[in-house]
Amino acid sequence: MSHPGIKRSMKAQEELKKGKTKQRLVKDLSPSELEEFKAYDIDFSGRTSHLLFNERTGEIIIDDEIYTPTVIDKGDYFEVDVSSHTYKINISSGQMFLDGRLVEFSYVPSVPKLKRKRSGGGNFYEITAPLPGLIVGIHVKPGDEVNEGQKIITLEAMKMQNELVTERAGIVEKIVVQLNQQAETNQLLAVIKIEDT
Amino acid sequence: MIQKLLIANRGEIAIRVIRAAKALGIETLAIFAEQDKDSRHAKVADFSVSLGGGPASQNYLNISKILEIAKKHEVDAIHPGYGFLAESPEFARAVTEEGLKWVGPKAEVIKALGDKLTSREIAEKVGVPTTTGSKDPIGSDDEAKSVARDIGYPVIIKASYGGGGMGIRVVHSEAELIPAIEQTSRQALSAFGNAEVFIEKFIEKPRHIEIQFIADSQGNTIHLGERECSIQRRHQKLIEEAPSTAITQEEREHIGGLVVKLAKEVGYENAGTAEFLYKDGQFYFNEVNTRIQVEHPVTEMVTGKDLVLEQLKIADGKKLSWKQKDIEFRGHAIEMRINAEDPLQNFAPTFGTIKQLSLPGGPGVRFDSHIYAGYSIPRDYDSLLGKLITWGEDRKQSTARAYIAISELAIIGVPTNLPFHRVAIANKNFQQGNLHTNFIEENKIIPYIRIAYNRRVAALFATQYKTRKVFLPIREQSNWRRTALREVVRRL
Repeated sequence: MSHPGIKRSMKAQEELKKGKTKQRLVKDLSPSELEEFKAYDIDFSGRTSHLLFNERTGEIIIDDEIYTPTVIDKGDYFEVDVSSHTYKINISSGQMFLDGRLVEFSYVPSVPKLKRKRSGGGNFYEITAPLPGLIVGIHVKPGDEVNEGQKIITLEAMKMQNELVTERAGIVEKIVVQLNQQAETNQLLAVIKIEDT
Repeated sequence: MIQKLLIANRGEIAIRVIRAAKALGIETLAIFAEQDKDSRHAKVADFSVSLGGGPASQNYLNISKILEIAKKHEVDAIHPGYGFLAESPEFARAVTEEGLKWVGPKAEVIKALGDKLTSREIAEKVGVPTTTGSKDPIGSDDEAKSVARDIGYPVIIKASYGGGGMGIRVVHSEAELIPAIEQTSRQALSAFGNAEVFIEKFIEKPRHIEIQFIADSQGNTIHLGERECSIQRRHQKLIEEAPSTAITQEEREHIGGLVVKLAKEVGYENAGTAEFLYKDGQFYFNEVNTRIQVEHPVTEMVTGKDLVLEQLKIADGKKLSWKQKDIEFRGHAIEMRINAEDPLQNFAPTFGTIKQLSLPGGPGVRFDSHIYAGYSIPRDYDSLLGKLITWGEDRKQSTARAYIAISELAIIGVPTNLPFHRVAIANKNFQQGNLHTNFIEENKIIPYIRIAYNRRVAALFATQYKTRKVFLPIREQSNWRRTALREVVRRL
């Protein structure tokens, strides 16, 4: 008799090899369903990744595949079913164990990255693309005065519209992208000259 | 009698040697590069000396600096470990000319066996089976074509002084032959300082089988059976085991006997490994590694012999402690190399600080490593963090222990190849012992790791979201992350 963990993994690997693994894909969702998803950044024991989550349905999108875990509170632990796999998750004294193995897991809602750069006579904020996407909205033009938190650019990424805002007040120095342009991760989109304080 | 040993290496192998030396009552001196001062090898030795910073050429590969330290601290022997200067005839010669004991074969032997054509010639002379191939380095295009035609395609182009999976190219037809030779030759010149290449028959999907042997200064030579190292990625071994599921006792004795003849032929002293490809009952000689190997623990586990301890005794002029009849395999052992590499990112090397470490244990479980919680992985060296080795009465038990141990081992803060091992060990073909050097690709190991990983992420996310507990990451946070986290907490 093989170890039960080995047996379980072996069976699942065989199913994948034979193409039996059926997973719902993002393309099965309608645009209105997609709009309900919010993006999160994940840190799983030091490995970082992203996912999309629909709070109403409990659906999670990772790598364009849809997972719908069911979580049952068993008192001492949680029993979680995902795609016919069952995991035991134990949370105690701030430590988390997944099937008996110590793990660390945290998530935060994805927010646009804002970079601050020093150059010439003033301070500048650079607004860059947090992930690859399409520029679908430019809400300011060079010379405009902007306030903290004001929308600058809308980036459609991972099938969602992300509003990129400035965290500092200032004057729009330049917009370096055009409407309907494709932006790569970390590509510079706009520069805000920060007001002297 | 060796009084004080300098270990010219770092990381887990330096610790392994230090442990063996301590068992013999030998004082130990570790050396370390500045960026490596937190490595545990520098802490467990009786003494440790800095080699300064900079690239390895200025420290771990700096022969004159190492010898200077050896003299200053009055050591009387040097163990080179593996990698770095372990197979440098120049270092071996310099050490002995300094009047120090060298834990390894003589410089001439390292040099002769380091040249792949010479070593193949020696192998053929004593009857060790080799692949058909060119006897000399390839001279002209016409010669290359006629040699390749005689051997039959596919053929493999190898750099005479290559190693570690570098300087190798497979050619399937005559049209690809000449460009492949030119490329390999160019690469060999820049990587190994020698452009010589030769042609051999290419064996498709072989097993990698190697024979451990050991000899003393009086010529007593024995072998310690085989290790199978077929689970490789780009010629880098990831999982090793002994005994191989493919090798019979008769084959073991036969090939082991031939390897002993080869070692005697060159006057080999100390531990070494003869590597072979193996297919359909045929062995094909590849090369001899004139040093202790990373995967030596699997042989130690199945034979019950301490190879590194024996290395030190042999360097001290002692007679080999064992006769051939004392070597017997008991049970089965597996080694999993734990690397700071992310199998989800095409095995790219990873760096950072290990924040938490939880180690497995129990009967038959051994972890040879230099890491600890709080250890920062330097960028300058190979990605090996340690080796998890399990033993069992049979392969079923050792693989079950391997699966449990690798599932228990938690290295938090830096992505590692742990998920790879968990998937590979549980694979049906691995469990059945159907191994070859294309195992990872043919068994869709990487796609499965990704799916299994995503499933776990989904399970953990759903659980945490349900419990609404925000576990603050321990790692350093960038400002925008901190802002976002505050946001989450406020909303809850």
